[in-house]
Amino acid sequence: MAGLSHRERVITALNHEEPDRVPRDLGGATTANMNIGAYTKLIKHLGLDEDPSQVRISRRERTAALSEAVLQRFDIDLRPLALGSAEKNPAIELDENSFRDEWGVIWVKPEGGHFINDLGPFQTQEPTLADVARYPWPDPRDPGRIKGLRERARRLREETDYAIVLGMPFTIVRECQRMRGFTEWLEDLVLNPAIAEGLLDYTTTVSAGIAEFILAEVGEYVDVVFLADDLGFQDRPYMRPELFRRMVKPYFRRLVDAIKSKSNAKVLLHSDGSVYPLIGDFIEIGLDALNPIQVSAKDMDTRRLKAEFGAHITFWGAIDTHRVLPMGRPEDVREEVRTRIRDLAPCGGYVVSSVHNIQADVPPENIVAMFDSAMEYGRYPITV
Amino acid sequence: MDFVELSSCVIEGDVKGTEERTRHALSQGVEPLAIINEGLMPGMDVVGEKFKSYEYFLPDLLVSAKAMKTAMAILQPLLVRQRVSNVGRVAIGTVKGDRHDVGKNLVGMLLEGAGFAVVDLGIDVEPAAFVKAVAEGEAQIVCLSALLTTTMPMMRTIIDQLGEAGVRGQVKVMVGGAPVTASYAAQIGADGYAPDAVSAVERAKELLVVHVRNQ
Repeated sequence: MAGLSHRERVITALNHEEPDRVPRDLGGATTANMNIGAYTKLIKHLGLDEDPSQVRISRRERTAALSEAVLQRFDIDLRPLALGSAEKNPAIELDENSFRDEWGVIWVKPEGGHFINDLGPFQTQEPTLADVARYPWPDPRDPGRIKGLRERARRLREETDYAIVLGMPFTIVRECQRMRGFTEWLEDLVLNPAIAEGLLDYTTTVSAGIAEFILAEVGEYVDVVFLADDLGFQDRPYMRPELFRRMVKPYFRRLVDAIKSKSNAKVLLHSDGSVYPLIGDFIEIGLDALNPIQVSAKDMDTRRLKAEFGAHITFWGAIDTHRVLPMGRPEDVREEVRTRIRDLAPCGGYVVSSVHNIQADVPPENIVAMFDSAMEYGRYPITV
Repeated sequence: MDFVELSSCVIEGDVKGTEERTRHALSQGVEPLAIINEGLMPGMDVVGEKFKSYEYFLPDLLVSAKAMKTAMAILQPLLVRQRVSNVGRVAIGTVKGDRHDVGKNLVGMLLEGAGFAVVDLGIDVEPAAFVKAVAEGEAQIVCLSALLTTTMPMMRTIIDQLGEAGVRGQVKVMVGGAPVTASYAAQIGADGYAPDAVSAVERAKELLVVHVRNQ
């Protein structure tokens, strides 16, 4: 399969066919990124003439805007399409280490760490359905988000051959938990299902509305839409699968339908943890790909996942960030990559990336080992 | 007094029912400690088993813990009055640089439900705070939580500082959190590790037996 463009490579894999090699992601999916600490060490290690102090850093996660030099060194197949910021309810700085976001959620940063959501508007007191209905939810049609977007998308499409990933700013369950409190919303599912559903309804309305609004602008240019939610712990989903199917799944279906009504892009869902019992449901509602494949979680065995679901969903990720990347030697990283490619790459349907953002404790040699071995082992037909 | 109904309320996460039956038992002259030991704790034991066997998930665990906590709020003041001692004293916290608290909160709740006196030091906790809790006799067990590979190393720092303060031998250190493993725990000199909140309670009880034996 000679002369595939980066985009063709990704589309082929997502269509469950074998391209020339396994596609590689760094910075396309929002959670397959790199912390500024790791990036600083990497550019030094690669001998690149870049000034780390000039690198743009994302405020919340402290991830670096990756240079073309780095992305091309690793021959990364995807590029992210950046959204504009909301104008109507912009984030409000409370002080140097805290802000209130567009939804009214307060975020706090510990010293040396990164921002984490701290308190939601419905957290200290149980809301009524009227409270939820009255609340000033984000405007899905905020013009700030699409400012300059169509032009940026057009240029990415016409001036490069990369596959284009659009990260949706919001999803569903994660937003409910941020608004109501992590444990509070899970308790609501059992003790106060009307409120749990009320929140699901509104977060889905906002997220689906934003998806439709954005994709009306750029749907024709986007290859992958990325949704970052979280549905699993280390050893099990947040809720029993039966409850997920009954109460939560219909809202994900609504969001996927909204995306697909405006674009032919593939839909990629991010959920950490042990989500094995839900993968059949993800497939059923039309999700095309699953990230990050947290291999350190229970039942996320890559061989088994491929055997059971590989024909129907693309796996995106799988290179362990809990142990191998931060604590392993380069040979361990190479072996990890070899194992995941062996398990997930046959018949297409695999994009290689780190399970989560590469943190500051990952040595640059390991990052190089990851992508170089992905190149070496990832040629089709897979022989490792 | 038949405690089966009370245990069932806890198992089913019936917060109101648990509260009502607790008050009823008290009004019948039942001792608070008996209500805890024969009604509430057996209920939480069953909840723990159901969680371990993947019948119960986190919402169920949280709701049962809430039922238990509601009853304990009524009973705790009465226990203090009776000077009844607890199973053990625990200080728990998320290490410095880390603000994640769900797992920590759950472990704290379940430890209280199992009869431990728990001091929750919160999140983003300075190592010195853990050392202080031990030095002042507030903790026989220290439980450390971290969700990030980048904050995990603080666990070793805390263990080192307990040594430097000369109190390492007075306390058992237990560690947990998504990236933490049993082998990491052993590497850094922790006494115990648990992969989830229910096994954390079991492990705490085991550690306490060892601890008391060695004092």
